[in-house]
Amino acid sequence: MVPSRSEGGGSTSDETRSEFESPCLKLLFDRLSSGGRHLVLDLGPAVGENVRFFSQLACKIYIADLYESLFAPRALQLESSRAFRLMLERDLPSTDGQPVDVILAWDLLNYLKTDEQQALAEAISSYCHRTTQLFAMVITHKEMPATPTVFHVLDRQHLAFERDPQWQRSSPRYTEPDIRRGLPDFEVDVSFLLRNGLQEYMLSYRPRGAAAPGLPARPGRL
Amino acid sequence: MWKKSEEGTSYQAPEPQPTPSARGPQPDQATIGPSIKIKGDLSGDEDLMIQGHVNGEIRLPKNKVTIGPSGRVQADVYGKSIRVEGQVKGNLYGDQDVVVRASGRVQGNIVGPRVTLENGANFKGSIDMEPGAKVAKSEAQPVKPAPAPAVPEAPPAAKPGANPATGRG
Repeated sequence: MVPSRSEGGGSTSDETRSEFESPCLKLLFDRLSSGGRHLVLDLGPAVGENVRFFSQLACKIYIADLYESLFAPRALQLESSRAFRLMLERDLPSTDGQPVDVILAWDLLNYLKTDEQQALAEAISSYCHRTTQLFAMVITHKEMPATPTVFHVLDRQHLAFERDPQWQRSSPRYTEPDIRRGLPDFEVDVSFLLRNGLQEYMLSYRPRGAAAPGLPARPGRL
Repeated sequence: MWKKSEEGTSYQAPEPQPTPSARGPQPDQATIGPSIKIKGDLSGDEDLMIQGHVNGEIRLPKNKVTIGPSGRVQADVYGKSIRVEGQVKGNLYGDQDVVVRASGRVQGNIVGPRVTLENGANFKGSIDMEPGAKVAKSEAQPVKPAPAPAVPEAPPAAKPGANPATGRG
C-alpha cells in the first residue's frame, strides 16, 4: 500500500489516496481477457478508469450506482427492507434479459445489514448465469469510511481509492459465514486478506441445490 | 495500458480539460439558449450547443452535439460527437465519441466507439463501445439445479494463503 496525497479527481485535501495489489482483479482480468464479449454489472458509481479498463476487454458495462441511491442525503429514509427492495428494483439497470458475467460489489456489503444483503442477492440473482462471478471486499478493521469507497482500476492487478480518514464509522467486520448468510445463492471461490485490512472475495453464483459447472454440487455451503 | 501495468507504472487520471462552453460560443455552431424550451425532435446539419431544455430526440449524426452546463435533455441523442456537461435522461449514440464531463449527469445508455467519463461525472446506465459484438454464448445459460449435498460441511473456501507471496496486497 502506497499512501500518497490525492491529486485532482474531485477529491478533497483531507483525502488520502492508497494503491494496492488486488488478486481478485487479476482473476477477473484473466477471465475477461480470455476472449469473447462479457457483460459487467457495476454496483458502484461510474469511474472513468474502470470504464476504460473493462471496455478495453471488450465488455459492455452496466452501472447501477447504488452508492448514490443508498447514501445520498435524501436516501436516509430508506429504513424498511421494503423500501430497500423498491430502491433496488428502481435502480438496477435493465440488461434486456441478458445475464452478466461479472458483478462488482466493491465494499458495498459492509454498509448493508444481513437482510439487505439478502435482498440485494435476490435482486442480482436475476442477472446471473452459472458462471457469473461477484467481486466484493470486506473491511476487517474496527472502523471503516462513513460511506462506501470509490475504487479506481489502475491496471490488471492494482486498485486505488481515496478516503477521508476523518469520516469513519464502526465496521461490522463481516466474516465468511456472514457473507454466506447474506448472499445465500453465491459461493465463495476464493478470498484474500490484504495488508490494508481489506478482504477480497470472489464468489460464484450457485443457487441453492445447483452444481458448479462441470462439477458435482459442493456440500455445506449454504 | 497493459504494457504500462507490466512495468508497474500506475495510471494517473488526466486533469479535467476546460469545457467548450467555458471557452465561449464556437463558430458554425447553433445554440439553444438557457431560456429556450423545446418540445419535439431536432435534426439538422450543423453543430449544436444546448443550454436550454429539450424534450425530444436530437438527431445530428454528422455533427457535434454539446449539452452545456445548464442544458437539460430528455430524449435520445444521436451525434457524431457528443459532449455532456449538463443533464441527459435518454440514450446517447455517438458515431465517433461520447464524453461525459465532470459536471455531466446522464441516466441512460451510451453507445459509441470511444466513451470517456470524467471523474465526478454522474452516470447510470450501460456503456457499450462495441455494439456489434456478440456476447460469449456458451456461458449465458441458466443454472441447472443439482441433487442436494449429502455432506454437511466442507473445508473453508477462503484461501488466504493461496499464494502468500503474491496473494496479499
